[in-house]
Amino acid sequence: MTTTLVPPPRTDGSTPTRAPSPLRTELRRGLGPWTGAAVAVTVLVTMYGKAPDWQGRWADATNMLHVVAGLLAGPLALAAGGWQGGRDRRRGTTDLWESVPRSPLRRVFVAVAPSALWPAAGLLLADAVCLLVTWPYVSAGRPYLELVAADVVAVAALGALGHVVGRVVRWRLTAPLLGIVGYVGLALSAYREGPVRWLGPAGEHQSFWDRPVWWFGPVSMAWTAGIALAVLLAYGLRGTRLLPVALMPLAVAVAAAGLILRLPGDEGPWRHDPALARWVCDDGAPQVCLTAVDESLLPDVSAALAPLNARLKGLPGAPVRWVSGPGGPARAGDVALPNTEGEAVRGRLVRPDLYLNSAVSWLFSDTCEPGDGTGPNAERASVVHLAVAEWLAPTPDGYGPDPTAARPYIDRLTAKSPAEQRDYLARYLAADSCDPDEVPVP
Amino acid sequence: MNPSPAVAVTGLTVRHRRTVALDRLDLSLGPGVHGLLGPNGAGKTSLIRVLATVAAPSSGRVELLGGDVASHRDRTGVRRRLGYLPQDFGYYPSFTVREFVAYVAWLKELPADRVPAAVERAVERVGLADRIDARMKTLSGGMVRRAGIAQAIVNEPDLLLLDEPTAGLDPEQRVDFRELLRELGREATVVVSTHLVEDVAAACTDVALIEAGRLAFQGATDELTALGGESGAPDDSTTHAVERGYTAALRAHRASDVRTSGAHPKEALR
Repeated sequence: MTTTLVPPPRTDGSTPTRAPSPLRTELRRGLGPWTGAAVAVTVLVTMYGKAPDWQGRWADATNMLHVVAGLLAGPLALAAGGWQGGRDRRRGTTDLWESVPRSPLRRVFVAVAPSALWPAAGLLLADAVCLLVTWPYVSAGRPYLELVAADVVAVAALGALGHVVGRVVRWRLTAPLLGIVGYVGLALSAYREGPVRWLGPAGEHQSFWDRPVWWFGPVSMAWTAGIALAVLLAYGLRGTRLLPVALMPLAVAVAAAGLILRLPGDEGPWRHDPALARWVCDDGAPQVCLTAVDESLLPDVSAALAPLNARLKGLPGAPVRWVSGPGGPARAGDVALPNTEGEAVRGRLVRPDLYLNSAVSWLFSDTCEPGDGTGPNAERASVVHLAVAEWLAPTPDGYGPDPTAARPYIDRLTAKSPAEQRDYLARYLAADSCDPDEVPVP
Repeated sequence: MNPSPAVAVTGLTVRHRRTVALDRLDLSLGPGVHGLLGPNGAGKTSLIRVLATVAAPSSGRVELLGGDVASHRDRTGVRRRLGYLPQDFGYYPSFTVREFVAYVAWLKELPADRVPAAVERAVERVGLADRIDARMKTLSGGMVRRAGIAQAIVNEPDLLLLDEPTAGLDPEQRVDFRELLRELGREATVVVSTHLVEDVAAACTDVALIEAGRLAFQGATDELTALGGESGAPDDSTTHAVERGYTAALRAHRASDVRTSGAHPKEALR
C-alpha cells in the first residue's frame, strides 16, 4: 500500500473514468464470451460437414439448424450455464453477496445474462451465416425466421435453466452432467412419437414443400421462455411474499405447451404450402416439371434427361410430362421423377448420370400383382428389363445391379438403326411389363 | 442524550449444529475503530457474520445503525450503510479492480452517477490506483486484500466490518492500512476482527475480547494494555504490553468462568 490514503483532490478538472455497468461487466468477463464462441463454432462446424444436405433449400437449412441447435447448442448452453451458476460457490463470494442490499432477483437476473445471452448470440451468428450462404442457391420460399428465433430463445432458456441448477446443486460435476443429461433428454424428446416431440427444441421435420403454422414460432418461444422465467423468478423470489409471481410465466408456458400438444402428432406444426409445391416446367418434349423450390435445378434436370427424352419423343406410351413433388402424376402421360433431395447440392445436380439412371428405373417401375413375373420367360424378361434400362441410361460404376447378364441384349439394341430402336422401344412401352411373355426381346 | 450506538447486540446466541459459537453475548459499539480479539474459534467470525447480516442469530437482538436486522426493511437499509470484508474474500478473477469494485457498488445500491467517482476514491484510498484496470487474477495476495478493502469502503459505510483484513499484507502495507483504519474510524464505526495484537495496538481505540463465545473484556486499548502491568524487560514495547494485557484479560475471564462453574481447566491454573 502506498501513502496515498487520502487522495488529493483532482486539480486537472478531469472526470472519473466511467465505471462499467454490472450487466456489461458480466457480459464481457468470464465464461460468457467463450460459451458464445463455442456454440457458434460447434454449430458452424457441424453445419459445414453437412452442407450438401441443406445448402439449397430454406426448409432444409432451417430444419438442420433447428436440430443442431437443439441437440448440440442446447446441451452446451445447459452445461455452461451450470458452470456459471456455480461461480459464487467456487469463488467464495456467497458471503459477501449475502451482505448487500440489492435484491436476490436483480442479482440473479444480471448474473444469468452471460449464461442466457451468449449462447443465444453464438447460435444467432451461426444461424445468420448458414442462412446467408444458403441464400444464393434457393429458388423459392423464405427462411423460417420465426423458428430460428424460437431456437435462439430455447437455447437462451436452457442456459438460464442450467445457471439456476448450477446455483442450487452444490456439486462440481453438475455442469458436465447437465450437458450429458441435456443431450440425452433432448435427443429422446426429438425422436418421440406424438405431439410431445414438438415441445422439445430438436423436433425434426423433413419436407421442403411444407411451412410451419404462423403461430408455432411465437408459441414455442412462450413455452421455453416461460419455463425459464418461472424458474428464475422462483429462485430470485424464494422466501419472499412475491414468490407467486413466478406462477405467471409458468401459466403462459403451460398454455403454450397446451397449444403445441394439440398439434397433429406426425406433422406437428407443418402444413403443405401450395406456393412451394407448384410446378415450374421447361418447354421440352416430354416436358420436365419440378416444384418451385427446385426451380434452379430445372436446367440441370432437363439436360440430364435430354438423351432419354430424345429417344422417347413422340413414341406412343412415352411420358408426356416428367413431374416431381408431393402431388405426383396429375394426369395421363405424367410420369414421376425421382426425388432430387439426394442428388442436388447447392442448386446443382451433382450426378446427372445417376439421376438419369434413377429416372429410367422410375419410368419402367410397375406395380405388379402377386404371381406376376413368373413362368418360363420370367428370367429372360428380367434380363430384358435390365438391358433396356442400361441401354437408355447405363448404371454408373458401383451402383445398381451387375449388367453382365444383359450385355448381349444391350449389344443388340446398340447395333440397331435409330428407326429400329424407336420401333423396339414403342413395342417395349406398349407391353405389360408384369407379364414376362409380353416383354419383347430385342 | 448519547446517540444510539452503531452496534447494539443483546443476548446474542449463535449455534452451529451442536456447537455454541456465541453465547448470550451483549455488545455495544459506537464510532471509532474497535478491535475484535480472541483466540482461534472464539466466535469472532460468527459475530462478524451476524453483524454483516449474512448469518441469522439463533436468539438475541441485533440492532445496527439504529435498525433491527430482524426486520427486512431495516436490514436492507442497514446493508446500504455497511461495508464488509469476509475472512475468505472471494472475487471474480476475470474482472478488473474497477469492474469488481463498481459491481459491489451496484450491489450496495449506490446511485449510478456516484459510482465512477466512488470506485476511484475507494481504490485510491487502498493504494491500488495504478492497478485499477488490472484483472483481479493478476494481483498479488496483498493487492487482492486491498481490493477487498476497497469494495468494503466504496459506499463510505457507517459500519465497516473487516475480518482478518491484514492477512497477506506486508509490514509496510500494514502500516498504511492502520492509518486508513484510523482515518475511517473518525466518522464510522469500524470493527476489525483479528488475532494480530499489533494491529489493535496501532489502530484501535477500543477492544472487545471474545473467548468461547462470550465477552471476556471490553474497553479502551489503553485499559487492556494496563491489565498487562509493567514489564522489566528492556526490549518491552507497546505491542508487548497489549499482548500481556490480552493474556491477562483472557486468564482473568477463564478464572472467573472456573469460579462460576466449579471446573478446573488446565488453562485457568497455569
